[in-house]
Amino acid sequence: MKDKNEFLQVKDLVVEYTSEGKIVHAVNKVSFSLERGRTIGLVGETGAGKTSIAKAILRILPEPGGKIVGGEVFLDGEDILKIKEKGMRKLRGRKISMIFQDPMTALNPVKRVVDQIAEVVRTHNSKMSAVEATAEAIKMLEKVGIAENRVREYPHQFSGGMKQRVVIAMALACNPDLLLADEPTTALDVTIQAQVLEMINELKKDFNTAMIMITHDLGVVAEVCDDVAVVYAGEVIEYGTKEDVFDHPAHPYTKGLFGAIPDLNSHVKRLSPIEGLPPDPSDLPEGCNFSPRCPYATDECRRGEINAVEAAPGHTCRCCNIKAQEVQK
Amino acid sequence: MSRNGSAKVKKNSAGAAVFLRVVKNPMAIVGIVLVLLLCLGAILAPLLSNYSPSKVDMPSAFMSPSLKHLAGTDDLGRDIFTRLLYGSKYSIMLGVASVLAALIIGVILGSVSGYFGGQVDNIIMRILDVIQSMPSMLFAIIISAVLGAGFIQTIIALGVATVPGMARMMRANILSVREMEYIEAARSIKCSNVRIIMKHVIPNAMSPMIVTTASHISANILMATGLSYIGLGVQPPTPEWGAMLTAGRNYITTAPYMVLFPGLFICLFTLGFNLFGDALRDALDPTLKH
Amino acid sequence: MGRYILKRILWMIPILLTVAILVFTLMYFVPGDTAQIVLGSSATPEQLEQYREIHGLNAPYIVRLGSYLGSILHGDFGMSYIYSTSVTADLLARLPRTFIIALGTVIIGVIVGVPFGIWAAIKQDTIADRLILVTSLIGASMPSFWLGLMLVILFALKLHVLPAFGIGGPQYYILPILANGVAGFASNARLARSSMLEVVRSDYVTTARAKGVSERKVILEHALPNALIPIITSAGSCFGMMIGGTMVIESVFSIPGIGMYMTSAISNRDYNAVQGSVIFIAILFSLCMLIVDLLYAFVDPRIKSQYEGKKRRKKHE
Repeated sequence: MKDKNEFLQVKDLVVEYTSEGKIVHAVNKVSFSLERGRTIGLVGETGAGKTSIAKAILRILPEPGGKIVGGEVFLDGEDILKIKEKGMRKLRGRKISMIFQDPMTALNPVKRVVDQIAEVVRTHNSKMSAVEATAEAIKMLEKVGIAENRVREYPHQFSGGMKQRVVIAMALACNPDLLLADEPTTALDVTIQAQVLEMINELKKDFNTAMIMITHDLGVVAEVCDDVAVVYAGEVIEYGTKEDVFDHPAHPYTKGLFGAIPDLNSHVKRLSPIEGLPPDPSDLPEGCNFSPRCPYATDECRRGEINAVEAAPGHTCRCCNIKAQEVQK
Repeated sequence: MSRNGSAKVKKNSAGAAVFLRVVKNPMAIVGIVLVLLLCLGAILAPLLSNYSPSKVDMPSAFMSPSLKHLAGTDDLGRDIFTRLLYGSKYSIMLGVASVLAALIIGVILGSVSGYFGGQVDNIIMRILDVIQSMPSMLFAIIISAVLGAGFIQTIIALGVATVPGMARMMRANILSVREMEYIEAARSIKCSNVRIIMKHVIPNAMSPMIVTTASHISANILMATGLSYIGLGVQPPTPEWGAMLTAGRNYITTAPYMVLFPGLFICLFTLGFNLFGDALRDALDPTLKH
Repeated sequence: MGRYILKRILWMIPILLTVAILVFTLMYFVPGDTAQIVLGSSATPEQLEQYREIHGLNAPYIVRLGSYLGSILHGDFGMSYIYSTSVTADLLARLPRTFIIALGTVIIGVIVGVPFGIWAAIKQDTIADRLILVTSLIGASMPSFWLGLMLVILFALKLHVLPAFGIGGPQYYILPILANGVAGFASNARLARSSMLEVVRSDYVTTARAKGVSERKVILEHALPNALIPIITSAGSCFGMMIGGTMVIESVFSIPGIGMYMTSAISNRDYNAVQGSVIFIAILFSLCMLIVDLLYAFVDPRIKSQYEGKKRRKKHE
């Protein structure tokens, strides 16, 4: 089943957290794949398990509590979940790196900005001197638009947008092959959002980086992604190219997401939100996780495991009623 | 910050959650049981023991611990265990009364200072600066030296020495609560100043104070025994634990149990309050839990 | 930074003068006649009057306060009423012994306590962690002078390996330092543990891990400096506790240091000696607090830039 052309392949990834005796099923058998230079968007609500997927790939789940329970993650044909911690450390920051969600807390408050970037450069280039690493870090910071006269300041002297740029510079400092971007624009103003996205896009092109873009913003997906995986309650419920998913959404949840976006071209009095709330990940419903909120749910949906079916070639959907819905449509 | 705020608005349910978390913590239960046992011992002392805590009985002086005298007898033939039971109330009162008095004064000073700011704040803080340029034990020693030895005097000395820390903490809490978004929200719906202070500022600023109260009680009990030891504080023949310990040090070679048992009681009691205080802190600050 | 240090040192002067006024005033209003106390009940009225005249005890409060403050500014704490010696000289002679105990206590408290607390946090929920947690809990609940007496019973009276009381060689300081240091060890280990536990869960530590930095460096270079901030903040009160403990410990082990000088002065009602020791201790304590504040600025750049007055932004913490 392993495809040699695929750069990254995530197969049946399962992540659990234990908290006060309860088991939280954060990620349940998630699979997707990604080629070099392409971007996949993981879309879903807050708490759907998107960040846990990314942290599991980097193997930096919070300890104690978070644990990868099952699955495989192939990077260039090697299962990185089986690598020893020491070898994994060589991948982190160099081959795979991550842009964190909250720039306010992602930077160490007591270290100078330039040193935080030089650290990652030096960690992976042991022959480099401290001076060279610093020069490299300054170059990187300039690339994301931070002037050299500010690089020796501390994070608290930076604005939110600047901090996010620093976080991005840090992630890209070693030209990673795989970039995990966890809501890189959520904490930013709209104008800065656009700049940051453009920057990420350009840097990605320069280095032919593969990227996983985690977001709940479908606009961001439209702008930067090639493929889309819709995540709901720790499962990928719909997966395909951006065009497939945007133009022919198959899963009721995906349709609901698009129904909740304001559209300037059509005059709708009210947006149509999805009724109800996502299920409690420590107490998932039997059968389809979306069934309690799904307008099309039948008894069949509330039994057993729901398998992914192809809605079109390369476009899968985890729903047992696709055919039925298409009739309705 | 805002998350913090919204969690605390629901005061009652949050209080119940905190209570549940404390009760679920086995360390907290050990602490509460220790404190309750000693309190019960103080109340039921006449029932638990046939000996008098004060009657001198020279023929039975310096008897080693046995079934008859659980902790032995002292230089005047009094049963040490009985005296320790009767003495619980002094240590409890020294700790609790001094901290409560300090809490009340500290909360008032801190609130005034933090809420009004300006000159009032300046004056109060400078006075606290002066007092806090001495270690609190030293300040308690001076006050005791001025007031003289005695039970009430010791409570006052400990209380006065505890006020600055309490006031400073309350002021900091008030300052941070004042900046909270839920205060802004209350203002935006035209809550009166009095209502904001009573319903929002004070309740939210108080919860850290409650946590420090437990740890201050144990610290003050230790301080009280220290004062007794250097000849200030509560004096013999009062069966206060620190005073008993002090009386025992002269016989340390012949009757070490005269020092051992009062110290053990002090340990158990402060340990109880420390455990309870820790559990309370963890319950109010769930981020430390995993 | 230099300006800030200077400002802090200058600020100590009015604070300490106010301490002097406060202590002098308190002692002034203590009931009892100094001359009577010093000369005893057998003294004649003439002798008492003569004593008061010599020591300026007849002058009004304001005059006595003024002359006292004047002499303090020259480093002179006056004469001991009982021994007729210079209080300043007495204190300086006793300082080294108190200093050794205080230093030893700080070493046990901070240099041993903090690493143990951090180690416990890294090994959270292991046996080592539980052991440190329980030890420090018990340590924090013990009166240090009682522990001192217990150590005396064990090591001096039963095992005969260490001297019980007095001063002499270095072995005389082992038990006092141990007895006094346990409380500091306990509170620092507890604090370091909880502050480290909070820090290792923070986002920037995850960031550091995501960079591929080794676990050792994550702990030492990213988590530790941040965990030290709250530890240093409370170091001030910890110093206070240790100094307070030293005063009691000295009388447990009959070590003629500043603490014992003060306590015996209190029981002798030797008020000049009491005032002198209090102010002297306040000076030492204030110097400790100054060091703490500077350390704080050194570790936390946010505080440092506040001191330097570059950017005064409201802190929401």
